[in-house]
Amino acid sequence: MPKLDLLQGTLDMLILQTLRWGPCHGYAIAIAIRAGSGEVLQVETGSLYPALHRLEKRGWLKAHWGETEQKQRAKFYELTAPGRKQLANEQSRWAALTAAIARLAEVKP
Amino acid sequence: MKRDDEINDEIQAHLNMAIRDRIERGEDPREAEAAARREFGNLARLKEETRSVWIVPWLESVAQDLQYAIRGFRRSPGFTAVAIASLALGIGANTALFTIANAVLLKMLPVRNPHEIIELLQQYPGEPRGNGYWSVPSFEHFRDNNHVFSALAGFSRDNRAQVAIGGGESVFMAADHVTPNFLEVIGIAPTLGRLIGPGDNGQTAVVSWSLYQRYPSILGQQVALDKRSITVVGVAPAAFRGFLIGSPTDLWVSRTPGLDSRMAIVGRLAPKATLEQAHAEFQSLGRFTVEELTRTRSDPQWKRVKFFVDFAGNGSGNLRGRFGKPIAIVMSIAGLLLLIACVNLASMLLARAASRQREMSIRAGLGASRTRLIRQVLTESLLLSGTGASVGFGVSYIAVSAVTAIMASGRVHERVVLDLKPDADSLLFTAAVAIVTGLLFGLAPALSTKPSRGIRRLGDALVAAQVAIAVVLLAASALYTGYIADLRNLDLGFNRENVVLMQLDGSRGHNKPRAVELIRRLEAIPGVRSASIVAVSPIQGAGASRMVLVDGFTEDPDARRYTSLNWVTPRYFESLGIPLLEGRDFRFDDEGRQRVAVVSQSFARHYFPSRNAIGGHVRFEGRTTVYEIVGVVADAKYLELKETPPRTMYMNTLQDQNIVSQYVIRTAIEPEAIVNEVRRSAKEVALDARIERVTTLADQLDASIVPERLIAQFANLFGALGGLIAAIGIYGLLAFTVARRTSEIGLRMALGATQGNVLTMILRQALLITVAGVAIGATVAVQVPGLPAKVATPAAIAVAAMLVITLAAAYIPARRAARIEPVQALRYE
Repeated sequence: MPKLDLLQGTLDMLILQTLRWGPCHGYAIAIAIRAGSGEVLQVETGSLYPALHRLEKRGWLKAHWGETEQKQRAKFYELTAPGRKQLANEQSRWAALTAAIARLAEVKP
Repeated sequence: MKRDDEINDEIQAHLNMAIRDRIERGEDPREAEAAARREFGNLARLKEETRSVWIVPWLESVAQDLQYAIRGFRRSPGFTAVAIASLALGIGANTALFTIANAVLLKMLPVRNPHEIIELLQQYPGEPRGNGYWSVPSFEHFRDNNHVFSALAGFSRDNRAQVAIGGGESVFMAADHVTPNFLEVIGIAPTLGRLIGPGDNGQTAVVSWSLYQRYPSILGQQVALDKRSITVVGVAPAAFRGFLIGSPTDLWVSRTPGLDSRMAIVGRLAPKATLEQAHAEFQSLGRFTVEELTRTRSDPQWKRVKFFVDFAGNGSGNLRGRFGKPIAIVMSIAGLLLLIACVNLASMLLARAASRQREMSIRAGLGASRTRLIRQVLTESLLLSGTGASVGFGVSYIAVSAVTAIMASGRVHERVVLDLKPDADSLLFTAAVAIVTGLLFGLAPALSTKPSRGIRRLGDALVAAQVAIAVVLLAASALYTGYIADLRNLDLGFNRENVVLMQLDGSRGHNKPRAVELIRRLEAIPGVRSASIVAVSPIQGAGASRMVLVDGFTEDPDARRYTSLNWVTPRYFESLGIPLLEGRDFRFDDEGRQRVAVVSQSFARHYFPSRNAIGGHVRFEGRTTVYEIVGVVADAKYLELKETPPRTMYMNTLQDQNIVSQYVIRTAIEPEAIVNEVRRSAKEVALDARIERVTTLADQLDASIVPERLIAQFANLFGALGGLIAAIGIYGLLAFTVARRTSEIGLRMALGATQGNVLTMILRQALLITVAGVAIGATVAVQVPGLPAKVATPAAIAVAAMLVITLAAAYIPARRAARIEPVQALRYE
């Protein structure tokens, strides 16, 4: 299966989505998105970290330093209350968009 | 920095985990690392981008706003130039006046604990201000009997101390003869050497830093001061120019013990004493002085002298007393100028904002938030005010020297030397003003980033406000111009035009025969009508006075007043244009005969209420010489323009041993034309007598009204600028209105409106705004308190001027409107 680059703007939603299950560091987020999409979606580290910091700055994520099970010091991100609200917004927007595209795709021969 | 480290650590952690995973999957460790790095791409760029998430939006948008603002201003250079020029003038004037107010009124002396320093003052009835003029016994009494001062010191100023340094020619310097503790009490530390000490007994001096700069070898040297020899033992700090603000001290000289000249007294409040306590105690201490004076003088006025203790941490209060109010007035006028410039800019920026509404909507549509748009507008106004302030700071240099030049043009004894430039305080003031003004005139356009109906009305109101302020400024200008004109036209009792005054140093080379010879020579100069000599010329600002006794007149002791005295030669009254009312003028052959006097009319009326003054006999209290009155002349003013003429007694200086040495020359031509000839004659006849001063009587009068002239000149300048700014405001508003309503006007004309109709329509708008503004301005102007004369006429002049100005400014856009071609205008839509 060919790998797809992420659509502009969807990375934010995917990060928020991933963090629903609890705090995660950047590497784990990248792995989770790739694994969760059945290896279809490829996260560029070059956009992941700016995106994380952007979300943190907007107050949708908060971060702390901790250790992984392998004793690696890493920066863990977690959702804030506004982050959860933003995720809900993005999800409904996404749902509306995909529904619309799906309708078009069905109508057109 | 901390954030950089964090980003590094975070990415390193990511790499570590990726490498470990690859190794666990069985990759070769070295390849694993290379692969992980490859996956990352350009690491440096990644870090940069991540970091920039935090900083760029803010910085970048400020830079963007600035760039955008600059581009906008480049597109409208005319607007920008007017804006910056009016701001620069407004801010420059305010900075200059702040600089002067700071130096004269606010700034503390550069001494230890300046807030403790006080000055002891007495105020003679009828004098405008208190002065420090104490006898040595009074000083000693206060020093030894008070409970409120931790120390008192005295000094007397000699502005004409003759100082010879290193055996050179002696020059006049300002010397303060001080009690031994003076510099100690004032609280300075010597920059070099030591201060004057208690055992110096009048043999030491401390010099100012600026004198030391001129004569670096002076320290430790002997100098001749008024022909006695003193040793310079120290140099004062550069920042300390002396206790008298505006009159810098060259050297502080240890007072000779036993010197009985009068002194000013300064001191420090005791640690727990308040100014009120000191003042209260000083009332009883001051009785010593009253008793002392009434023992030696018969002036009943001494019983009414007021005593007070004044705060003097910012130097002697004399200058504050004379210039405090004028500076405050000029500052408030300058404040109005800046305010009108701000309102003007607000209205112009508002018009710009209205024409940019489309642009703003587009930017809002593209996602710019309203705060972002407001910030953009404020950036523009702050950029304007910042630029205006920078130019204004330059303007303030010129303005400060203009003000100090006016202040320095006073009479010799009142001359104010302020060696002043805008300083760090001024810069701070300018910056604060720039920010406040920027926000002030940026506010209206910023709020109008949201379209609303009120804006057009706000624009009208802002222009009306400009008209109102301009009316106040013009009224002030007309008021002070009238006030100065009144002062110059006052009936002074003499004719001020065409009189040259020449003061010779009478101490050497000037004697009676030479004086008589010089008078002949001066009268022989073509264009000279008469020449004579006088001790004190009118409004010179000094004079002698005494109590006199008149034969056959008894006076209630409490009603006695001083008679002012003057010594003149024949033809003096003729030279000044003082009419001789009765009797005769002095004669050259009075010399060696019975002493004669000429008295003024008010003297004659007071002492000879029912008799003829001619033939009456007068003598000074405590003296035996009897003068016979031979003439009565009209009253003339001598000290100040605004005084009531003093009772004056003139004597013939030719009857005295020493002749006075101020020449009064009446000319038939422009007085300036003969000045060189006058100087030459003096040099040839009086030989080595130095010419101290040559001036005209008119200039001497002007020198006596420096504060008034200061206000008048600035009121005029600011009034003119205010009027100009209001005209620009009206013009801008109407030009904008016409541009905005082009299609509407075209439609009206297509429907049959004539050019006249359109002209009237536009002019009516201007007139409505002007009338509203004028009404407000005139109401405010007539209510300003503390103005020296009636303001109704000036206000009327201002209103008339404003109406003419606005109609002239409105005419250009109105005519443009009337010339609109209907077809073209409609197509324009």
